[in-house]
Amino acid sequence: MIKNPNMIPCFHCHLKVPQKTDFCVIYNNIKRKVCCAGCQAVAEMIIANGLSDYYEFRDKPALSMREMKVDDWLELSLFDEKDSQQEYVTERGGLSYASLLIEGLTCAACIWLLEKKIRTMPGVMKFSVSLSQHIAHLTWDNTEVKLSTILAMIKQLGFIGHFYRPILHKQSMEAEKNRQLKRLAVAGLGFMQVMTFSMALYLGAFQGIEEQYKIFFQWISMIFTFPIVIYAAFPIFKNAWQNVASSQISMDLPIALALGFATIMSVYNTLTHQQEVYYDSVTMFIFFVVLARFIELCARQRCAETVFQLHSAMPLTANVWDGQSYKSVMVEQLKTGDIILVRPGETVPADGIVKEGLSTVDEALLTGEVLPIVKVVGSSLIGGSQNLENPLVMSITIVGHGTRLGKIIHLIENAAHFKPPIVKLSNKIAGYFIFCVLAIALLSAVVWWYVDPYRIFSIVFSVLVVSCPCALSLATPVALISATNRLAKVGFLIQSDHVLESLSCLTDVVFDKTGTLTKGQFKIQSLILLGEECEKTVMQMATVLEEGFDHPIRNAFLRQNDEIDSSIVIKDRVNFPGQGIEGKINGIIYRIGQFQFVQEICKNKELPSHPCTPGIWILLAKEMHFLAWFQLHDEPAVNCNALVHYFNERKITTHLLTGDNSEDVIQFAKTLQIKKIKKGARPNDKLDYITKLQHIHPQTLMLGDGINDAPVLKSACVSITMGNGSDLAKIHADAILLNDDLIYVTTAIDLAIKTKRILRQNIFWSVCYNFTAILFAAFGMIPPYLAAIGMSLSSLFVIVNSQRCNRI
Amino acid sequence: MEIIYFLVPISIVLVLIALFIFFWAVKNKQFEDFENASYQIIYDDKETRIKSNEH
Repeated sequence: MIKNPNMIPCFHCHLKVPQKTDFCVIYNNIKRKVCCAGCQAVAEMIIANGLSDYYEFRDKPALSMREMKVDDWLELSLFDEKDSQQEYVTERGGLSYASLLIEGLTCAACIWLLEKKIRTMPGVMKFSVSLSQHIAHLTWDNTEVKLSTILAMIKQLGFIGHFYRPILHKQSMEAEKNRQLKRLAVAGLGFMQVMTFSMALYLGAFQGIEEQYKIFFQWISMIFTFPIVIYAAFPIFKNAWQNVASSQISMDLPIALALGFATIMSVYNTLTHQQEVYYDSVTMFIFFVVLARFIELCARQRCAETVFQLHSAMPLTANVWDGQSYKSVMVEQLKTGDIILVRPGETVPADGIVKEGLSTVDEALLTGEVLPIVKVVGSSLIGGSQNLENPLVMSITIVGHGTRLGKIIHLIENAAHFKPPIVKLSNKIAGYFIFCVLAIALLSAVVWWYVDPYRIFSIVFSVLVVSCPCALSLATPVALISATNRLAKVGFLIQSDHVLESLSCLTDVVFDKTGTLTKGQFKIQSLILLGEECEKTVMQMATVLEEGFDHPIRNAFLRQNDEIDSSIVIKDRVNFPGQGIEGKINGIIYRIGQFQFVQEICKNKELPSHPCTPGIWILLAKEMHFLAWFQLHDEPAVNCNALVHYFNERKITTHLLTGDNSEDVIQFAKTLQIKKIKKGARPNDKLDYITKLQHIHPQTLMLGDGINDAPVLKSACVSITMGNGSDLAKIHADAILLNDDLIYVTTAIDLAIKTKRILRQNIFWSVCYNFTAILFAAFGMIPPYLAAIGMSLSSLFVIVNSQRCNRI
Repeated sequence: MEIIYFLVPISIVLVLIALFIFFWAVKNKQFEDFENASYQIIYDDKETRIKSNEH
């Protein structure tokens, strides 16, 4: 019974426990292994505080403590600074209030854990966390406990607290939702009261009611109706007015007309002691319309929130020179011209220019360049890139939203406000529809004027009210938003308008290979010795040569050897992009890389062959001596088999388009059963291929990870890029798959097809309903209250049907 | 039936109170998070049971 010790997951965060470590905690009297000191500390703290129920309740692993940097702890004192507090903390009645964004919340048990512990801290008055938004509201007494202490405790429990930065005008979204809720309350409570009083009037109409009581109830109903019409229905009237002012038509116009006239008529009848009042229809109608709008608003806001949570990747603090030393400040407070120190491993906080220092910087996030860039005095730096080797001193040129990263975040935020073509189309059709309804109402008025003028009013009201273009104006956006939001939750982020529509009718799909269908992580599969050096030496030499350039191949070597032999000293290391690396050890030139490149230092020597097994073969040699072949293997991505199978099943033609030129490619494609293959394609070739394909089959999906793929992604009908891809790709792609599990591409396509089906259902229902209802209303067969009920139920039906797009 | 002139205004007052409480709840962020509330009930229950087990 030899269990591979490598397979034990950490008790706290479920990552792999490294082989030589011995961290553990005692839970329920059993010793459990954890992966690092950080996780051990957090787990011990949780158990010691009597909160071990957390491990029982939670349904997702906790945030791993391995990624925590020591510097983070020092930055906590920043939160007590007057300047940062001024912006984010409010003081009222001796207490301080702040909103914090909490990272690391994976499930409801985390909230329980956090709330339980923080609430018991002396000086903390109130602390509550919202699961959906990851925002905590904190009230504390600044004289009893400092904010940094509270944040340190949050850290100790395994979470990170930031000041809440409302990037998405979150506060205004919240305010909008609250306003709508209040209107709903007024409409709901008032409508119920008015219905009660209407009962008296209805019964009175049948059985007889004394005049003074009839007047009393009419007046009471009127008094209740006023606030509802003025406050709860205010947005409807405002929109209708704007429609008229800009010569547009939307759903609010007939509703506002109907409501307005009904109310005026009812008031007139009340004042002149007549029989017919319509307060009940008016208030019920307002209530249902406000309810429908509220549901739509919630759907919209949920979508925006999910996008926001997925993209909070800017650094929080920066080291600014204040004349004497470097001080830590919040990134928001940086100004153009500030001098910043960026240490190795830190993220550059804003766009700027290097003033001192020589280092390499990883800009893969923003430019797609996999190899690190050397930066010298005068080089420009991009906010969001990572400094690798040496400290850099820079001066800032652009801050905040103007930076490249800021613009990307801005782009992604705006994706939440898109107006897909189908929505634009529905709005247009809705416009025509409403115009027809108004025309029919007018026609009915004219006709009934001659037949029975007494009934004109209630018939016109019914016609205006019973018509329901909700399937078009309300349900379509709700369906698309629900689908988009549901996909965002599993890591499939939609950025363009037409994605769902295009995904539902694909004919072809084109795959990039490295990084898309494969993980982009090379492993050394085998080693063939060609010279006298032993395996260990050869590996060390190769690793030392590759070291220093953050390249997938170098990572493969590093994974194999954790320690680097420091006795091997390398000089004059030069990188030949795309070919290999050269360096001098003990005065002798060594080269590693593609065989054509390496062969140059072994002229006139016969190149030893390597087995024909698939993989990337790189050669290591010193002057005039071949040393070894390394076979590198790139693992296929999660579920790539299932993905290709999905497309083949549905007769969607699969293509493989890759820059990789090895024989490996053909084998790879055959294993996956990809129908068409083009290898060795340079960026221009890729562009040609896609453009030609689009001409014949316009519904093409492109999947790529972006390095060299950006223009190709743009030209395909719809494109998806990986979360690990370059940010250039992410800007150009129509959707991003953040979790690298390819099965979610099929999920997205299934949901797109389902959404299309649901939209069709809604339109079908809407057509049938409107046709019959308007006809009946024009002929006087539908009384006002029935018209209000009909319209409300119909709109609720289509909206609820649209919410089904929330389920995969 | 004149009692109606008295009862109906009372109902108006009750509705106004209900509305006022609702507005306060909205302002107090009671409606901000619909998901967490359902979990809170379950967890608190378990905790009291465990506490009594310890004694």
